[in-house]
Amino acid sequence: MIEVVAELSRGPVFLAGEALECVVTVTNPLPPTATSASSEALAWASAQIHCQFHASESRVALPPPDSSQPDVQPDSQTVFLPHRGERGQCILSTPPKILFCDLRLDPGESKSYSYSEVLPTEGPPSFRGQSVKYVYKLTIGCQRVNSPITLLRVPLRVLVLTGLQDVHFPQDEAVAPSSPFLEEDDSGKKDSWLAELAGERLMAATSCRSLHLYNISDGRGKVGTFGIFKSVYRLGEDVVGTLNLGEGTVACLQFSVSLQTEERVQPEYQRRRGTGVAPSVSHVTHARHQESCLHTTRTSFSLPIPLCSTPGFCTAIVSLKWRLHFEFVTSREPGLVLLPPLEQPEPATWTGPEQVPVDTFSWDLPIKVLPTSPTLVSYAAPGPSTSSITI
Amino acid sequence: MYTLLSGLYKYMFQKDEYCILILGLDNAGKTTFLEQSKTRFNKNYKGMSLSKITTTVGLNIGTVDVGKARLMFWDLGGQEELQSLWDKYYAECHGVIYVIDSTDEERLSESKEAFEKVVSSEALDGVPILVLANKQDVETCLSIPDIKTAFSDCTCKIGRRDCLTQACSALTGKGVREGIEWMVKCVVRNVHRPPRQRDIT
Repeated sequence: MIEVVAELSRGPVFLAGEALECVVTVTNPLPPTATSASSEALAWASAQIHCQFHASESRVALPPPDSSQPDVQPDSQTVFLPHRGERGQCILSTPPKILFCDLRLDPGESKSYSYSEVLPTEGPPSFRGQSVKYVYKLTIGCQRVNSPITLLRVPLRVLVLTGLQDVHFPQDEAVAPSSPFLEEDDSGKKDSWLAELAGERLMAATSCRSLHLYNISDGRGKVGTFGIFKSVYRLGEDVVGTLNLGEGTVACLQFSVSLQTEERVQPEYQRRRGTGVAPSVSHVTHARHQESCLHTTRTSFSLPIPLCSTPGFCTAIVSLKWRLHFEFVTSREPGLVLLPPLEQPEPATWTGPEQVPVDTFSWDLPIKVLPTSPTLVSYAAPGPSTSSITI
Repeated sequence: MYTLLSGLYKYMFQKDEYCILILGLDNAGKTTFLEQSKTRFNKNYKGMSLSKITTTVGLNIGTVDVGKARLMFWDLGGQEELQSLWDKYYAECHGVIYVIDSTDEERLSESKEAFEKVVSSEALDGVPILVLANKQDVETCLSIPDIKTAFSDCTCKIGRRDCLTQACSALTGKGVREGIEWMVKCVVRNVHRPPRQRDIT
């Protein structure tokens, strides 16, 4: 019996382009003094990172996979296929790296090996949506001589920092300058340099503050003004907005604002059927604020962006976008009807009307959500950093 | 009478089974050769997408029937670290196919060194070796005489065994059938390594 343990030193969340580091420890757990002690042998171990793509058949119409040309030996137990037994298709994988060959372990002996691989930048982020899923794993294959290959799977979460190309970097803003020492020493600190660069870009993109005001109107007049300081956020940040209802000519009784993602299958891959068409667009609400606001002059809300959610992205098959979804309930009556009369010649009891004719309307404001530090995400959602298997 | 008929049945339908190792550096085209062989010799085998072949770690197994012989191909990973495992399969094999990338002139000496270790092993004494100069579909590839010159150091080590150098393209299939038919003839007549006999079940 041999025990194989894989440990991700920094947690299971990574930014595409970063190096993933994993320590694999192989142990013969028998105590050295055991009477039945014998050494154990392994032929080889290899590690590979891969991304599995799975699409809901009721929503996504994929081109039929070449059934006449299947994958080479998809179920083989003698060749290392990291996606063996996995659902969906493998859309991205790194080359296999051999950890060791011809390993012999005496009773009680342990050996550790280090695996390091840069996560490809051309892949999608990890995502578990309604229509599609992108799931990343590090898979370690081990084989004894003349035995099937045993697979040890380590789940990963990959964040992708794309979309920065269309974000305008503020020229005048004073953003923390990068350290010249880090830039010059490329080889030694390439990883921290990348993390630093990503951090700087995220800071620059999300720190641009200028008040954006939106007039909120329905068919009969102005309801109020919505103010928001940022349109680009990072995971974990709060979306803060203010509503000014004091100057409106239409009374607003109630409003709600939801932080949502919209998952949309690209037109060429949408499933179209005559009856029972599954929607190619689905929405998920991550946070919500609801308020009764009759007589409210000014109010604000704060909606947290969960660290476990997925930043916006776009692939050939699916896109994910973030937005603030507002719903307003407005009164059809002039505002004064809802107030007690100003002059009361004699004492009397006034009650509000039992029924008020209302209108509702909604409004969507798109925002952009970018990744944040993978270390921070690892802390917030502690997934397993250690996986093990016994051969 | 039953015993006689049973024996006759077994004699008519039994297949002699031979294990053939496919060796060579990584990216030489060993797995592509294996897939092409299965396509050409097995009527019911569905072709696969040759573009989907990636680096082999472990062992690809394929079976091919040629006449009364059944070839069990063992396609081993060719990465440098994995070559130390090759000799674990020598004792059980009946033939070796060594695949060379004819377009990779830079690694030709590396391939020769690996080949030298193969033919030097006593566990492979008398075992026929088919050398495939692969990727001959590429215009700029090395010719057979060029490759033979690069491998000339190994000639004395081949010794008393069948050896053939064959031009081939695993991608297009050229040279694959000829190579395998030659190998079948050699392993069948090699009395020093009798086949494993299996009844068809």
